[in-house]
Amino acid sequence: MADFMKKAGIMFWINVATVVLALVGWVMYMVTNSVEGHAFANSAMGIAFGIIAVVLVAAGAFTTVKFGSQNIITFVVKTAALVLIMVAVAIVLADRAVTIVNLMTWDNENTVAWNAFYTTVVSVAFYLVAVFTIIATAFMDNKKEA
Amino acid sequence: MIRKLWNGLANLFAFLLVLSIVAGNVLEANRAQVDIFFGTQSSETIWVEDPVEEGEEEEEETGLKNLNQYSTFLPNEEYLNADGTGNSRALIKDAIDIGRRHNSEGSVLLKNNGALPLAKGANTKVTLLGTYAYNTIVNSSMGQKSQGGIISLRNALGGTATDFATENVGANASGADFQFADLKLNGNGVAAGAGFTVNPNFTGNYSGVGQNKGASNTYTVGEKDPSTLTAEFTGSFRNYNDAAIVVLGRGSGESNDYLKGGLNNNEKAEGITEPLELTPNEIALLDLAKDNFDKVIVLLNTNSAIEVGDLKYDNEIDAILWIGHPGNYGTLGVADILCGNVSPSGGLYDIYATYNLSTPAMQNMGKYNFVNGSEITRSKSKTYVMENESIYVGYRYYETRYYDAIYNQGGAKSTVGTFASNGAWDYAAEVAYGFGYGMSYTTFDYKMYGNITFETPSEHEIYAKVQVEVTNTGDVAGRTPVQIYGQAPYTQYDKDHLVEKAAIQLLGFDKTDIIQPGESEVVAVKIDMQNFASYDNTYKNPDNTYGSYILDAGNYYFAVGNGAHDALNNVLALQGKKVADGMDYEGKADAARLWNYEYTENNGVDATTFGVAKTGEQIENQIPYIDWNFFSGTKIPHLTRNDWEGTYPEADYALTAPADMIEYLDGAIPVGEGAKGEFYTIKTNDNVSNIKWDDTTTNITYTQMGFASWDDPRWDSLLNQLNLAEATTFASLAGPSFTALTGAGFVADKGGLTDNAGNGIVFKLNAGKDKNQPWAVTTGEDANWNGQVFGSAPLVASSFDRDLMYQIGDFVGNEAIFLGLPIVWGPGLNTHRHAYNGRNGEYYSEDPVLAGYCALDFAVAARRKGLIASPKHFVFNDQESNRQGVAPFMTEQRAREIELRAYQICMEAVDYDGYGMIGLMTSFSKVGPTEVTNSWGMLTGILQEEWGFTGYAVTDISDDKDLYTGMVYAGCTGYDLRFGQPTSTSDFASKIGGQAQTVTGKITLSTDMFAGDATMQQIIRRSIKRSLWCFAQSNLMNRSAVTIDVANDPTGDTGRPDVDYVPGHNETIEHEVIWRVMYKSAIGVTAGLAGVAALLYVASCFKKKEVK
Repeated sequence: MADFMKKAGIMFWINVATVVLALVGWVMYMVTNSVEGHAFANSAMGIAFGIIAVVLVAAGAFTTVKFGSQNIITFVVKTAALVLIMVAVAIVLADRAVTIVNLMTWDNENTVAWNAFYTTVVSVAFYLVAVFTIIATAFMDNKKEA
Repeated sequence: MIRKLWNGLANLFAFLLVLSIVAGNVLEANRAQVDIFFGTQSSETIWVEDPVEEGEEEEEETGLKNLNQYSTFLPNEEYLNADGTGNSRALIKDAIDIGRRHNSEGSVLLKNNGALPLAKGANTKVTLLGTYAYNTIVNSSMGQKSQGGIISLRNALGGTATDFATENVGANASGADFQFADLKLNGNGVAAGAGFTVNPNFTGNYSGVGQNKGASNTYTVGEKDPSTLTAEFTGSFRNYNDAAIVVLGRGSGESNDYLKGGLNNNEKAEGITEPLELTPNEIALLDLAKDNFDKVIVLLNTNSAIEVGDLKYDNEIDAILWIGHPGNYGTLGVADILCGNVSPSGGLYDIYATYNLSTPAMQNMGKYNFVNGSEITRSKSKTYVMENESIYVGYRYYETRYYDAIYNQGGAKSTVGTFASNGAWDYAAEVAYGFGYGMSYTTFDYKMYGNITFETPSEHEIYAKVQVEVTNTGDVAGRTPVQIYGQAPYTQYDKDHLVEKAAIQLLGFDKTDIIQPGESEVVAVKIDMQNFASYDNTYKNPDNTYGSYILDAGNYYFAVGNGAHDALNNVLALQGKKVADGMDYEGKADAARLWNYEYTENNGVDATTFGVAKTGEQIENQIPYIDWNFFSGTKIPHLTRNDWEGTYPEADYALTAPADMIEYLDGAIPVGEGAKGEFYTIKTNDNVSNIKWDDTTTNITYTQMGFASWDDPRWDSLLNQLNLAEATTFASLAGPSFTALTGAGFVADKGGLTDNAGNGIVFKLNAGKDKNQPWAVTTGEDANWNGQVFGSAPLVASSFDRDLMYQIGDFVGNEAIFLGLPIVWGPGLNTHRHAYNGRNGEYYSEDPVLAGYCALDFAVAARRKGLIASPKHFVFNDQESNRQGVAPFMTEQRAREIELRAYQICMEAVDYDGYGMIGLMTSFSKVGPTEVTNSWGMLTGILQEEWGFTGYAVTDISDDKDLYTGMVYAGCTGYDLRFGQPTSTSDFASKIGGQAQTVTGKITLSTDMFAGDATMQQIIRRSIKRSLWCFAQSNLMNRSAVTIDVANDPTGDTGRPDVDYVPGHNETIEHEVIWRVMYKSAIGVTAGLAGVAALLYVASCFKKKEVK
């Protein structure tokens, strides 16, 4: 462990932050999914993809230290995490599009829908920041090239 | 280095790929709206001709007739070119003419000391003043908007041609301009425009001013401070001083109300806090006008009663003209009145009180949360509004109290409810302008003509024929409304049973033709005596149920007058009352008639005649839970004229929902309990063997059912052919798109068959739903013209012109044919409970008879052109505040005689032999503590069984999706799912929400959920029959070759091309429209780039290894 921590550089901590971001996104997904009358039609998929993505991001943090950020295993793990997070985001947006359009037009006094909207925004924001972080770290290398 | 690049790009493009897929899904799920936005047609229902076998085209002897595609409903001849293509120029020109008539017929002259009319022509030099003179509100901020080019007030008064390129709202999309000289009123009347010389400095002073076109809780009038007007402008007044035309405006729109004390803080001043009061800047503007002009003319650009009592008595204000929100072209009608092209002939749609707060309804309006809201589970069930003013809405309150004050009864002279009176309640102080009142440039004398005659076609129908002789006693030709009012006896029985009677109520109306000076016209008005009956919810029926319409024995009065107050004074005159008795002026006894109803049975209470509906259904209480006092807990009195002082509503009741009410609020009352129940528990083991599905022994398509009667036995065969899963999906949807019913030959429509408007069809000509029609306008100068152009609903009401009401329906029906659209969610038909309702601009009036006939004439004309009008919002959308689920409480009498009567007139359609409205949109609000969407008593008991409604009934947008089974059971035919529609049985559950509620809790939706429930299967069959029955009478039939029932053909079979019939079938095809191409391209490009980047990344990995 000590050896692992010794090898962990700034990239590791960025990846840990990514895990936290994705986890917060997932928790907020659960919160927005629980707003009365605003459960997602495909909530089970969203929950599953979200948590698998969090695990993959965590795994990516590990493989980054273990094999390097440009290793193909890290590439596969983190790209899969990215896709799964985006699918979770897709589920959120596809479902909430109606709510958002309604709020922006005729339903702007619906406080419950606003609750659903705000929690959705937080969830999606954290998920997207996590995705951007994954993309950014994909352009970075934690090992000097041979 | 390169590996990092490919890694990063692979991730980036993967991100963009998923984003593109998301965008595609969202666009496809909401394609109907997306198509309207882009003007595209992403899918299309086409007609595929089948091979004709010899002899097959022979028509049968059954009264049925075969028609080819695009033959069932044709546009009016004047809207077609010789080759059958659409003449959009003629269409738009007619729209301008009708828009002009909205205001030439509907504007109401409230005051005129001789200043009007102004002389037509350039020699009349006028100055416009005010924010709303420059930026006139033409229509609502939401709900009933205007689109495209408009004719501004300054243009109508001083221009010579339209200027659509620079004068427009929403979108610059009205095509080429018209010369005013070519725009003739009614096609052959005077040319448009007043031709005045308008002070040109006005424009520079007001250019850029804001326009607050929607009501809001803290409303900003936004009138520009007149002290900031430039010296150049004020200095030019002397050169344009024939008149100052000052415009005062207030907005209207969806989602918000005006609230008590809700004037923006920046505009409040001492004693000025209300949004409909004149603000300091408005008062200063009027002072500026009075100081600089001999003639000051005030235009009221509003649908909410601005408090103009002070102006009424201000001698320096020479004229007041109410103009509503005039739509795109109505300013031409305003110009007609100002310059004397026409004599004004409108009557006020609502009463204009001196202070709006004086009406009982205003004591409780706005946002109220149950004190114990935390004990209520359902989030949409925590708000309420107490409407315990009983039937005394609008003029019914002021006129009845006036009458009782004259007779000194019921404590009418007490000080309760006084706002403008000095001491005892005083009508003259409390009311500025009465309901139905309006001036003319001439004068008219009205008197009853001949005897009132009665027609009784059945035991439960009585129609009175009232004739009025109208004489033009002035020196200008003009029209005038003929408003017939009535007074029913208020008996001891009524007092004992809390049956309320207004001292005067509108019973019917019509309008004269143009009457020349000195000439007379006799106008006959048919009165449905049902509208004279009163609902007694305490009456015990022979079968021990309660509730009936009653007619008391006694004296009934019919009267004509210039508004309700004038008619009441005429009744009083016939009763022998004079000014000495307290009247504000002498009435005319010859303008009223007495009819004594002799009924000696049942202690003089006739509960037989109208105790049974025209359908034969016995009347009984259907919605007792609408009364707060139905439940346990604190009782709240309803206003009664027997005790004005003791029952005038307290302000702002803070209410705690009792436990038995919370069961309703939370949706826990099953069928069979309580008041018939609203929520439904699905059964699983009924015997359903006698209900047929998937029957292949017959082969009837809905296109063979054109104009088929509701009782046509072929419907049963058609329903037997359906598939239960498809039927269940279809029964969840009522627009804009519809799923397939394969057994009926109904193909899925994903492009949208509904429109949400009322003052015209809301999308552009080039966004039509069927661009293959011979008259389709897809290109050219008018392709972007948007049909949503007409003025506010109160303008229609104030015209009292049933010909105009019909003409609007006919025109919108023609628009719908041009656009291939069979259903419109309009017109608005809710009641103006008070002036603060933010959406008053979309609803006609405070009076249900006036509103009902406005909507009826519109709907019948539209239906004859194949457009199904579906008035909204059934019912009790009495305010916008908390509209999502607000619980209104009132008596069932009030509900039936005020809000519901307007709809009843439309559905029963006695003026058209029952050919009335066959569409409906329900309300967001509740009936008492129960959702309208789930009220069996409302949607089946009253609507279907009492009124005989067999049409289509859609919920408001996405309303109560958590209550699916109850919604279907109660009698809606589906949800309005404007966004996120199911497109097939496979996504039925996910789009409806998968969370429908029953008394036992949440259930998971599926298309076989009713497989063991005989009741629901029958209800679904009826629901589908209702929708298909409507479609079979609509212009949707234009898309197919059809078979029609000639006996029920409403078109008169005119203008149809004489070509050989070719049978076929409908198919749906998809088009690669621009937005679809864009998202598919994005998916393709990003997928390719992501793949390439990933491959290069992998390759770079291997390349590096080789180097090692």
